[in-house]
Amino acid sequence: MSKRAGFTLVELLVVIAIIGVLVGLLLPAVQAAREAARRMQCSNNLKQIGLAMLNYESSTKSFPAGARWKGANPLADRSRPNRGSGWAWSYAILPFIEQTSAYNGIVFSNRIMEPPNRAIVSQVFSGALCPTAANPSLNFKLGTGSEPFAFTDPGIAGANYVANGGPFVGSIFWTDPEDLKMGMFQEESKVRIGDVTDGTSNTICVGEAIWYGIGTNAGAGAFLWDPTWYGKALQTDGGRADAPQSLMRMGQFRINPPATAVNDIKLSTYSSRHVGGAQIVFVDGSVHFISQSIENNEVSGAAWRAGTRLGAFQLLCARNDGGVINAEF
Amino acid sequence: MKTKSHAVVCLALLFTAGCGGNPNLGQVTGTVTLDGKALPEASILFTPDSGGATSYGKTDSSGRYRMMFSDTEAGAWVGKNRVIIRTGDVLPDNSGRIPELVPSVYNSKSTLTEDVKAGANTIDFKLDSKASKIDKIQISS
Repeated sequence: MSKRAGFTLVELLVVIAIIGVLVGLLLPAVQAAREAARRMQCSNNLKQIGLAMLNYESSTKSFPAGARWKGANPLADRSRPNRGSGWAWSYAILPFIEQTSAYNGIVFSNRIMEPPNRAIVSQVFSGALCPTAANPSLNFKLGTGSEPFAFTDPGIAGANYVANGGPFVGSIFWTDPEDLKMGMFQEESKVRIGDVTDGTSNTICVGEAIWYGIGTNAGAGAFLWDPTWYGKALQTDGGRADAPQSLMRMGQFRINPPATAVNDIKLSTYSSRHVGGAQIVFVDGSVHFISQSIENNEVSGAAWRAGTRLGAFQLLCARNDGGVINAEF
Repeated sequence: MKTKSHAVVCLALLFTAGCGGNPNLGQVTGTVTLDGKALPEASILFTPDSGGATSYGKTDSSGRYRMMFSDTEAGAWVGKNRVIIRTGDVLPDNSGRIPELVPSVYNSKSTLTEDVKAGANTIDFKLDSKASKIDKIQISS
């Protein structure tokens, strides 16, 4: 019997197959661990935003306005729609989230893409981006860019976090003034802790939204509804869509709508690329992962006032509904 | 020296995904017709009365639809669902941007409900452009 000089082909194949199986088993686990880390980073971002909101409330006795139209400069005090300075809640909390230098550099009475603001709002803030969402860090306006202060260049810092505009779509679109009374953040709002009668642990403060690359008011001057930090540039030509409103979302439609849902639903609600739901920070500063299966029977404000029961998610979006939430979240 | 070796290495590895589907979902497919003609690009919503979240469907050029709960899960929540069918936009802000072909009794004033059962459901919607009330719609499952 001759001495073995090496491995046979079969032995090699068996070893390769075993290694292949082990790698195959290990790879999903490694990917899952990476996603878990990204989710934790996103959760930390939300926690910081939630705490900044609370610190803002401690300093000023109210939560920031969802969107500010009226600047100190009368020129910025234009009538709605689309004529304000473009600042959103995320601008107001900058000093409370270690962004004091950006806050101090911004001239609030100027519009968001007017110098010197232009250079500041194009600085990407990593704490505003969910690493799982993997969207570009800068948002560029869709359309012609013919406006004097459009953000075709240098772009505006992107974000994945949107504030709670209330349980009904009417709260953002002014179609129903009654709807405006239910949310945490609206145009020129000043909600106090005392106004959150449902309790701060039962009311959503800020949640996630991914970029769909879709807008409203298509055509020249259209803008994307993808979230940005600081605020949004605005249209000068009037129109139906009001830019900073895209930085607030409503609870009337479910979390993570599938691709078959119409654009209007995708740009009104919360969404994430984490599997099975989205992360939400509540007014008390606690971060929860809310399942996309959470009860949401999509009731309009008018139907609710006529007596239709609200599902759990819409109850979480309303600060003063008085309803009892029968769901784990 | 020749050794006859017959080596058959069979590696039958069946990795079945751990998720066996959401037990709360029943598969829903069907067609939507308006006045007997297939209705393309219509949006269909199944909103459960209690418990779960809405599923969405969209008709293709021949009016066929399939309800999707998420991008990866097909189906609608089992139980009684409020059904909305529309071709226009949802937000009041955008009304008129895309023409609404379906009468309001099927969308903004919808009282249409369907029972979704576990397993496969075929639900066809025969819409009438002059409808002012809902006629019973044939269901086969």
